[in-house]
Amino acid sequence: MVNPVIERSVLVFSTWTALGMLSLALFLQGLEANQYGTALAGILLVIAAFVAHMVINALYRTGYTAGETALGLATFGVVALLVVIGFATGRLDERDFLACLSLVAVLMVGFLSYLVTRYGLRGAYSTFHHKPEGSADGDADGDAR
Amino acid sequence: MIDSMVLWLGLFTLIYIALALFWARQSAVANHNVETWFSAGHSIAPWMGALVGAGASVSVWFLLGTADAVARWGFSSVAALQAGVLLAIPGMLFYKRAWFVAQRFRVSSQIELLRLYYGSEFLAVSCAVIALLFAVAFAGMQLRLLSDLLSTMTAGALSPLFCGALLTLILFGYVVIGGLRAVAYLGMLQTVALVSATLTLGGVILANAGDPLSLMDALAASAGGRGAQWFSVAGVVQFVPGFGRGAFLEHPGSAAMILSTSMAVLGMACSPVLFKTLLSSRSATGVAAGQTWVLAGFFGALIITLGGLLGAFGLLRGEGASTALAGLLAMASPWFSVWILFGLVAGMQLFAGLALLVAAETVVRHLYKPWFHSGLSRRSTVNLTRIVVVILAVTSLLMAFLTPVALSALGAMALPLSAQLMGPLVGLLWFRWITPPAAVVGFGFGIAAVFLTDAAGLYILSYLGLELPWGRYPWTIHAAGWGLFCNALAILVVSAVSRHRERGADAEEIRIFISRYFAARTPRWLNSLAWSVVLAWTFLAVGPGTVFGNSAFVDATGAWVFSVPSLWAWSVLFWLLGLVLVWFLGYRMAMASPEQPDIRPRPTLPGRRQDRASAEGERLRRLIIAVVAAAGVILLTIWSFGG
Repeated sequence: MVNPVIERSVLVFSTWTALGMLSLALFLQGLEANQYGTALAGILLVIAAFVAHMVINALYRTGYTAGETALGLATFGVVALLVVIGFATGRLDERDFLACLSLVAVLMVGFLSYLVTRYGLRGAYSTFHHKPEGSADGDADGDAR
Repeated sequence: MIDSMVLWLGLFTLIYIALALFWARQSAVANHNVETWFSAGHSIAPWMGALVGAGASVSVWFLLGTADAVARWGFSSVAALQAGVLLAIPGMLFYKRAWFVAQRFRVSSQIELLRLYYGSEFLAVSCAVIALLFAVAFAGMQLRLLSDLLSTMTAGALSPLFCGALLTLILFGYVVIGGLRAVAYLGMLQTVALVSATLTLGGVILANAGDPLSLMDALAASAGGRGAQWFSVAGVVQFVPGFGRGAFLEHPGSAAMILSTSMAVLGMACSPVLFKTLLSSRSATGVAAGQTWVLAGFFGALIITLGGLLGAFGLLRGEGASTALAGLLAMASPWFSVWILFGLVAGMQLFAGLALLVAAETVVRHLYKPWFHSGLSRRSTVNLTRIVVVILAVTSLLMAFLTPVALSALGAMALPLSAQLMGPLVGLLWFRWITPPAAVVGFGFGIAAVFLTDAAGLYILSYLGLELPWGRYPWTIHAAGWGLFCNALAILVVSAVSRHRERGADAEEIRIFISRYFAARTPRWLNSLAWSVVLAWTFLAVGPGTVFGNSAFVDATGAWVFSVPSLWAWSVLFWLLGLVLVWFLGYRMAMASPEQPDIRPRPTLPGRRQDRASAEGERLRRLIIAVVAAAGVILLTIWSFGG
């Protein structure tokens, strides 16, 4: 009856509930009050949540699920889009922009470090670099030419 | 600001509903619909059981309740400030043993455990009443508090009744769908949300209530005048008739009141509600860590610091904790305010969901089914329990808004009544010399004493025309203290006269099992030391010794040594020592240390199925006649003497 998949999900949800919501509130507060430090505290909590998520994955000897990856990428896309819109419409001042840029940078570094730790440098590259079928021979032929 | 608040509130509500439904569905799938609805197949992870148990123990009550006690009565509310340690102590004494016995004898709730050992239906019905009080009244009080707070935060855009109805709908929605598994899984999220929101509240207090040192300076300035009573324990005991019957010497916060209120706090950990999380766990290995580090340590720190700070804030402003909280939230950004509110709502629902499930299960599975309908199938039992969950949740909602005074009187009685279960639990899990008749009679005397000294009992008796010469909490002793005194006295007397009476076969088997698994493993001198330390801590932290705290940290000029009230500093010191004490009992004395012995469940003997329908029908008919007759006598009494 023990269900480690559900228990892991409960832990992941709990981590992001506790840290994610708080980080969102701090980040918004930083933007609202024009305090880069407060926004940075929110970003640090996002990093803490990422680290906790990776620790949970290590404990349960698993990686991110497809749903988590999709949700993460979608969130990243929405955040990036909001930053671009905010900047384009002039609603973000310099400090706000800096805070948003820090968040996007952290999310990107987090994503890359996940790929590297999960697949290794070569494997991370290979994850995206799909070679067409039979391309190995063709490349060889081409090289030969 | 209000529009923004409503917007954020709507967003968080949607997220919360989505989470609740997601976990309810996950749980329903894992339950195979009804197979493991009641106890999650005893598969809840020990760490999850420990966290959810700790969160449910504290819920929103002990955080806001402590703040409210300090805001109303000052820092003599030591019992509330020490709640972290007090809630952990019964867990250390009972939980591991109870889990081992339950595992061996295939039971999944406290009522089954007590029924198995004592064979008493009176005890079973009393347990059911206590569970109902927790589910309807105790949880209803929290529901009303938070509904009012939510309405205040939206400047009345949402009425309290609407907020309460929405919260009730979400609550019984996930309990009905997912059963205990949903309560545990979502409870884990609710626990961390409660913690996160409470920490956020701490930040908001520090950011908006001003510099803590200046807050303390303002408190110190008030210490010389009218506010002097806020910072002292008013003697050891006051021989006054109690609330509603005469003045107190200074204020009701005597050492006797602190000690007896502490006994009421112990009642939470002895309740059927908390036992359910324990007995649904797949092992007892999380008990020590949960009780020591999560409950006494982490939650204890939150209660004694943030509860005290919010209480001090309310004390200075001359308002209750919830009003002070509403004022603070109004000053904060909407996302912080809404997050704090949702953390508190999560804390409330964590306890309420568990209490609803336990109360409904007790009524249907432990009373109705064995007495009146033994042929009920599992599916029908679960469905009937679901209906009872809905009925109880709606009753709680209606009482919260239609009869709030009666609700709070009944809710206040839940803890002292539950504390009376300590006698039967000690008899079952510790002392063989407490005979079954003694435990049952003691429990009966205990609940009678609570009834005669608490508000609800006094109101009822007054309505029936019997005006007692004392008020609520006579001699500044909480109803829990009167109850436990009478309980213990009856246990001693009846045990002495019934010591030769034979026990039932199940009770004997349980005694043999306990003596085999819990034979003394520590040297005698260590046992003596442990109990001496417990007594010393009790005396100084929550007993008569608290009067030393009035001046322990005041220098020769009368100033506070640590810039905080002396009693608060005293409480912090004894909270830290209490944490060491809980660790000592749990780990060093092995009362809750993580162990996983191979306990094989007792084989069940295949019994011959008998058709008991006619006997059950007759029993139901007798019950209906008895209820009608009792109602007639009560109405006649009211008509003749009361009203």
